[in-house]
Order: sequence, then C-alpha cells, then structure tokens
Amino acid sequence: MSYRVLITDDTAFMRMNLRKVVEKSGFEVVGEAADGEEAIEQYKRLRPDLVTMDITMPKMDGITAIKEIVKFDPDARIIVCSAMGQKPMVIEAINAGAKDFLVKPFDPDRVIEALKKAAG
Amino acid sequence: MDEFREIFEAEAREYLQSLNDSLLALEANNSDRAVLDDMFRAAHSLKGMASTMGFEQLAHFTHQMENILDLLRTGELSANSEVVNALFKSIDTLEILLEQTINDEEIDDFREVISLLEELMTNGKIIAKEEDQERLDTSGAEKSLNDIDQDVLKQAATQGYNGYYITIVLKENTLLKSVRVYTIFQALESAGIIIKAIPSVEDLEEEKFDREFSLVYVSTETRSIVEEVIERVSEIESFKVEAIPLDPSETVRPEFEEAEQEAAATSLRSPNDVLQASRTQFVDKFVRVETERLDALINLVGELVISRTQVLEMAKYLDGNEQQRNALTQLDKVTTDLQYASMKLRMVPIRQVFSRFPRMVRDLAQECGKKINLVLSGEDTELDRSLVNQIGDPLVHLIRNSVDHGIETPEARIRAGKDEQGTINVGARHEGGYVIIEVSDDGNGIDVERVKKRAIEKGLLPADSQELSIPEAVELLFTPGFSTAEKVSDISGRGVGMDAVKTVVESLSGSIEMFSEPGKGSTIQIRLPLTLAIIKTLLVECQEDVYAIPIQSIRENLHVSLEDIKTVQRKQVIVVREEIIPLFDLAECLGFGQTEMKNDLLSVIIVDVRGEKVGFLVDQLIGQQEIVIKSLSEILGDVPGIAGAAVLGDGRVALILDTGTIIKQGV
Repeated sequence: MSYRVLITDDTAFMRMNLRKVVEKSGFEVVGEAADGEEAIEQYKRLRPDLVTMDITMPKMDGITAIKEIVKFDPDARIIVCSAMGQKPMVIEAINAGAKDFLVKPFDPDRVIEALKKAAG
Repeated sequence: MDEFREIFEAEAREYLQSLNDSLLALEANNSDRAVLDDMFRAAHSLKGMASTMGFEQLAHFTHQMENILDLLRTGELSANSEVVNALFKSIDTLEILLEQTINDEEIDDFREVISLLEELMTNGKIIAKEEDQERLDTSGAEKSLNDIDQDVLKQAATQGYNGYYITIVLKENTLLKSVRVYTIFQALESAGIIIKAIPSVEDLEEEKFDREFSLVYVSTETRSIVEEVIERVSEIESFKVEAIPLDPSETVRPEFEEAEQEAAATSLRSPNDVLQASRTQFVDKFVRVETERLDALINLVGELVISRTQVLEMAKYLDGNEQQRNALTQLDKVTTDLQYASMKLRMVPIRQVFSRFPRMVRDLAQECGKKINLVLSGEDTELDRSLVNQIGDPLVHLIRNSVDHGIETPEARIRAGKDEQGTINVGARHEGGYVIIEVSDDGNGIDVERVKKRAIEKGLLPADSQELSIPEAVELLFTPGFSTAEKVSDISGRGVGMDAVKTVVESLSGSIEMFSEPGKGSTIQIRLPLTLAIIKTLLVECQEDVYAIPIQSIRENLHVSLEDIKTVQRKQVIVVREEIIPLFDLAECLGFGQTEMKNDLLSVIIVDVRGEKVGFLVDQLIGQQEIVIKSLSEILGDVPGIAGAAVLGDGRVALILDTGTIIKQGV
C-alpha cells in the first residue's frame, strides 16, 4: 500500500522539493501545511500515515505542533526537519515524539530512508 | 533562511577560529591526528552550514579545504610547511569570503587559492600508509568490560535480563551525529537499559567520535528483537549485536557483592532513572540568546534594584509589623541575588579576545624575523561582555609593541646571552573586584635613551634634560603624542600610542601600569572592574546636590580644619601626614562658585588621579552605595567631568564624577 504523507514547511520551495522526493519514492502527498496550526488541522482531518515537520515556522512552530499532534494521536509518525545548528530543538522535537529527523539541505536518499523507516 | 543567519554567523566565526587554533597546533606538531580530525570536522561543518544557507561559493571553498584536510587525516599528504602555509592562506581567504558573504558584498576572486589547494592535492607527497589493520572484531565485548560491568551484568542476569554488546557504525556524512546517537539511545531504551557507552556518553554528545561506537545493553528481549529496534533507526550504515554470555549461577565475588548489588539495584530497579539520567546528559548545556535580549533583562534588573532601594527607603519611615519587615528583607535578599545572577549573564571568558593572539603573534614574528613563544594563561577568567569587546584593541596594541619593540632579534638575544626564542606572556586573573590582565615579555625593556631622545624631539622634554629614571620614561610613553617607533612600521604605527591604550583603559574605569627592567623585559598590567553596569560609589553632597565618586579611585576621606589648608604658589593644598596634596573645591570645579568655609571641620576626599593624590573639598559625605550607571542622554552629549548618572533610592539623581577630567575642567 502507498503511505499518505503530510508535508509541513513554511516555504513553498521546500514543500515543492519534498513533494517531489516523496512522490518519487512511491508515497502519496495528501496535504501541505505552511505552519503548525495548519499541520494540526490537516492531521486531524486527513489522518496521514507520516508527517514531515519543519521546526521554524510562523504562527506556530513545529515543536508545539508535534506536541499537539502527539496529544491527539500518540502513534503519530512525525519526521522533524531542521537546519544545521538547531541541535537543541531537534532533541526537543524528538522528546516531544518525533520519530526521526532530517537536516537541510535535504539529501533525497536520506528523505526516502527516513520515510521508509518511520513507515516501518 | 534569514532567521538562521545570526546563528550561522556566530557559528561560522567559531569554526573559523577553531580552524586557526588547530592549524597553529598542527604547525607545532605536524602529526597530531586529533587536531586534524578537529580541523576536518570544522571545515566539514562549515561546508554543511554554508550550503544550507545557499552560500555556494563559501561551500565550494570549504569543500576544497575539507579535501586537503581529509588527505592529511588519512596520511596521504604530510603537513609540511608548504601545506601548512597554504592552509593558513586558505583560512585567511575563508575569513574574507565569510565576511563578504555575511555582509552581502561582492565576493573576491579566490581561484588562486583554490588552484593552490588543488595543486597540493595532486602533487602532494604520498606517504606510505601504515598498516594498522589488527582489528579484533570478536573480542570487543570482553575487552571493554571491566569487572564492575561484569558484575552489573551478572546481577542483571539474575533478574532475567540478557546482556548485549552492540556496535553501531553511522553512515558517512551523517549530520548532527549526536542527535542521531540520541535517537538510537531512545529506541534502545524503549526495550532495555544502556549500561555503558564506548566512547562515553559525554564524548558521544560532543561528537568526539568518528562513526563507530559501542554500547553495553541489557534487555529482556531477544537478540532479534533488539536488532529490529536498531533497524528502525535511520542513518546507520551497519551494526552488530553480540550476546554477552552471562551465567547467573556464577557467584558474584563476595568483596564486591554488597556494593555491586547496590549499584545493580540502582541501575536496574528503575529503568526510568537510568533513562532519565542518560537523557538529561544529552540536553544541551547552552542556550544561545541574542545579546539585545540579555541587555534588556539586565537593564530591567537594574531598574528593579533601584525600586528595591526606594521601597526599603520608604519602609524606614513606616512602622511595619514583623511580617512586613520579613517580607522586605526577603525582597532585598532576592533582588540582590538576582542582581548578581544577571551580572553573571553578562560575563564572558576573556578567551574570546585571547584566542586571536596566537595567530597574530605568529604572523608578526615571521614578519620581523623574530622567534617568539606566546604563552596564554587565565583564558577562562570572566569579565563583563562590554569590557571584553573594548579591551581587545588595546591588548592587540600592547602585544604588537612587545613583538616590535620588546623582543629582540634572535641574533641580538644570543649576543645578550638569552634564549634565541623570546617569550610573551599574556594572562588574566581575578583579584578582588577586579580583573588583572598582564602582558609581559622577556625582551630588552624600555630603551630609556631612545625615549629621552624622542621626547626631546617632540618637545616634551627640554633639550638639556638629565638622565631619565624608568618611571619617568614610562610616564613619557603614556603621554599623548609620543610614539617610540622610529619609522611608522606596519606593526605598531597604526596611529595609536600607549596614551590611546591608557585612555581606553581609563574610560573603562580601569588603570594601567608598566614596569620595565633594562635588558630583562617589560610588564604591563591592566586593572579593570569586573563589570561596568553597577559600581560602588561614595555619595557626597555639594551645593545641595548629590554626586557619586567611584570607590576605586578614592584613597581616603578626612575632615580638616581651615588652618590645615595652605596656599602654595596661589594654589590651595593640604598637608596630610607630611605629604602635600593639592586641594580642589568641588563646587568651584563644577562651576558653582566657592564653598563657604565656615565650618570648623571640612570634608575632604582624597582621590587618585593618574597616580597622584588630589583632594576635593565637599559639603558633606553621605555614604557608600552601589549604583546602576545610566549614561547621560545623547542630547547632553559628553559632559567633561561627569561619567554618567544614577537614580538613588529616594528618587534623586546623582551625577557620577569623573575626577580625572574634572580637574582639567576646573583649573
């Protein structure tokens, strides 16, 4: 079966990039969110199998969104996306329930690996 | 990406500094593998950061550096002087490149350096690799378990745990290795307990490992389930789970039994504790905060301190009950603690300034053909951030002076019977409420004759002057407009003389002294207050206004009677313990006219002004108080004689006197 993925990033550029990689690896992108609030709303509505979550976003940051989504669904499979130098935030995200992390700029192979591992 | 720019800038500069430091270490010991690893990591991290930010040229350049460093690391290239010089050159280029990138300026052409690096890579001397392939794959487990581990494992076995020795190799190019390790720890701890990590958890956290690490792990799960758990984590190139054979029936050695049972119990009774322990170790010890936010906080604390004083002042006139008094005492204590805690936030180690000296001295020494060993000490000494920022340039100047004028050429040193290599010591330490920074060299000391000649040329001394004493020569060096450099050399002739250094130090409420011994060297000692934000002052009253004098400049205060005041050459003086001290009337200095000298006893404060004792006549002494310095607004600008202002506990404003400039003003 094909896994359903929700992409969260505040830049359309990054969302586009991720969509390309996700689709190439045979997954289905069911939604794109531009901030934490949108991600929570879409998660509840779409119930995706996997979520990619940027950390720094307007309105609501990724870490808060991860906490909210995990509160709603403790089995949520979220991959946090960070830039270099955000180590403390990545650790916070993992403590909040993120299953894996990706570091920008994304290496497509890494993205695919993370998706597959998180999908289990 | 803009939000990461600041982090990027700060970290990139740190990496650049560490590259510089490492390269100096490498130059001293050209086969130090750990140093090469550090450099490689720094270049690698820089490259990653630059490409994340989309700074392609920066990424490209660091990539080339990384390649060279990798060859050095693997031993395919040896760190000879040609290579080291090329690396120095590329670090310089990198610095320029980084600044230009950060400031969005046009980027200089750096192809020349790139081709230099490429040339090195192709022509580099290939060194025969030493074969050190004696890797003992199977005995890893036994090798890294000590007796205590063994006993803990045995104890675990009695409670139904299986022991595993896990070796994990991360993928090449794994980013944020420590976080990756953290996710592995998390995954494993969902099914068991990690007893030991090799290298240690701290080293893993600080990424002091290459790609491979091992864990001693106990779990009630089977080996295949443990493997499945690891399998689910990303970026693992390979791993191996070996069962550690445990025989629960084997007796624990009696002498260890009790202690070990305890140890085993604490680690095994509640897996959560262990989890918690390893997790807390992983949380970062530092938080990066914008300095602006920090300053805002410290300012608010300053305001709070003032309010606290006001409240306490008011409370004096109220007959509160015990409860209210206790509450006020508590408020007082907590505010004071908060004040000190926030002051500490501003404190940074002086290392920030010192770290640029080794490279500077190396380059300068090479330029002058001198051999110099720079010894730094007390780099961890902390002082106020604003002081650190401002003391850098004066120190650079002092060190330049030592290299340029102090240390002799190797030939001259040998002739003088000294080691051909000169030494410059730069050190910092705390002493009371002060930070002492010393720059000393074992060079030739002050050339008194040259100072005299120069002073005469400059019209600072009459042509027929007598022989100068060393203190007199020092005094001249600090005089504005004096510079001993015969020709304006590139090194110390940058338009700043010792007098400029002195001015900066004094503007920071500090003092500077110089000691010199002919033929043996010179020492310059700078004394700075720990912080500029809050100072201890003596409050005095003059013409019904309150003024604050920084306590560090006060020698003593005394009461004199009218007849103690004498007039010498139309200037007033007082005689204290047979010493004649010039006396100034504060009111007159401030332009308020003369103080009426009707009292029998007059209050006089003796202060240090440029090493001389000077007395000030005031109306009344009020007492000591710590005050938070506020600068005068820009509308007022720089008022000579006034260093700033402070709000007192009762709401009055006290002007802070700058005793040094007020005399010039008043005379």
